[in-house]
Amino acid sequence: MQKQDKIFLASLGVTALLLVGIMAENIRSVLLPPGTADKIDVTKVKAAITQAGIIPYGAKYWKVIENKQPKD
Amino acid sequence: MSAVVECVLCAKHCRLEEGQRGDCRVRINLDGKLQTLVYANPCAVHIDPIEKKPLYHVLPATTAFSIATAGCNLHCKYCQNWQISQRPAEETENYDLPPEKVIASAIENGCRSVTYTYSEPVVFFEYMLDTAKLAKASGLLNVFRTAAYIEQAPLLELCPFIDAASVDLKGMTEKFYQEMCGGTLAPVLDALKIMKENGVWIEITNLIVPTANDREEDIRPLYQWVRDTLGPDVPLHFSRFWPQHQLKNLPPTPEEILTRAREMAIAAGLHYVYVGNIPEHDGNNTYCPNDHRLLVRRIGYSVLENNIVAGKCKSCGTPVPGIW
Repeated sequence: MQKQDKIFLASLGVTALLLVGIMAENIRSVLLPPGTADKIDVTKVKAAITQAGIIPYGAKYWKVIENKQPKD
Repeated sequence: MSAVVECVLCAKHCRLEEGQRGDCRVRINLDGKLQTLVYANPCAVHIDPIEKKPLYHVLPATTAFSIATAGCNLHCKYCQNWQISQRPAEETENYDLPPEKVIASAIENGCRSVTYTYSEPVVFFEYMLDTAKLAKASGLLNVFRTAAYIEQAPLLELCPFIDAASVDLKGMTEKFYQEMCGGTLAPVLDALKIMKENGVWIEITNLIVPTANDREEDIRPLYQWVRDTLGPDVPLHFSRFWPQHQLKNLPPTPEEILTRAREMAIAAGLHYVYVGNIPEHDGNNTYCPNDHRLLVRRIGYSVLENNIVAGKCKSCGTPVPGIW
């Protein structure tokens, strides 16, 4: 097998892996129950707010609708 | 334990998990509590002629201290202020301007009113409310420039402090609101009725967008609803669309459509119908509904002549509704 054939096969393998990854992600998002959101990194969110110099202020007109146990 | 919260400020009722923010981008669930990210953080602070709001029946030729923060609970495809309304507070350049400073600056600059405007003041409700309370106590008028997409309870809390509202009534179908603005019509109509019942002076603006809401059958239900529900004395402004944001492919509204809309609304019995965004159009002026004489002559935002004396037509004495 020549060198360029090996490079071609290796690139084909990487491409196939990427495609499988993308398809798996798509299937996962379709199979998730409606309304399921990806977990938000709250620490990052808070850091971005602080970095922007914003001080959160208690809002009016809201209610708690569910208390959730953290999922590990 | 983390709490899922529901924001009930507007009809969207966003349900937010920890760290999530509402459709408005500026209200967020942090530590199980809903927080606003725009309190005392306006990204736009200007002094405008009150005619720009547009308000033609409120203290003509005075200036309004105008503030806005990032965020909006609607997503109009033609938004003129999308650079601030469709961004979170972290992405705009903000000022540190607590309510006390707003009032001091308004007075220092000779403004007669404070206007909550540009983006959508509903999303900075807490900041607007606190500022409006101080403004009222200081003898300044409060002006609410809004799409009126707000729930009943917060609106009722706000109304006692609001003197005038310039309200965008964007269309008269649920389809238009859903497809063009990402909202619904019914809450807007309800809010208009509540403001009227609670003594807020209302002027309505309808932006006529070519191919979207420019047919006579789009315009007729709007002025009929205003006439029948709010009364013929409520001013109605038909405003010219200018290609913006996601609708740059459309042309500006032809002048004849705006002129025709105004004529139809006047013929249907509305007393004060205006054409906006076309300077020197006859529809910029106010005419007495009784003797049809010129009351206020305007070019753009400038008042050139005012024949309203003590809230009445100078020539025939017919009362002209508004805040004079």
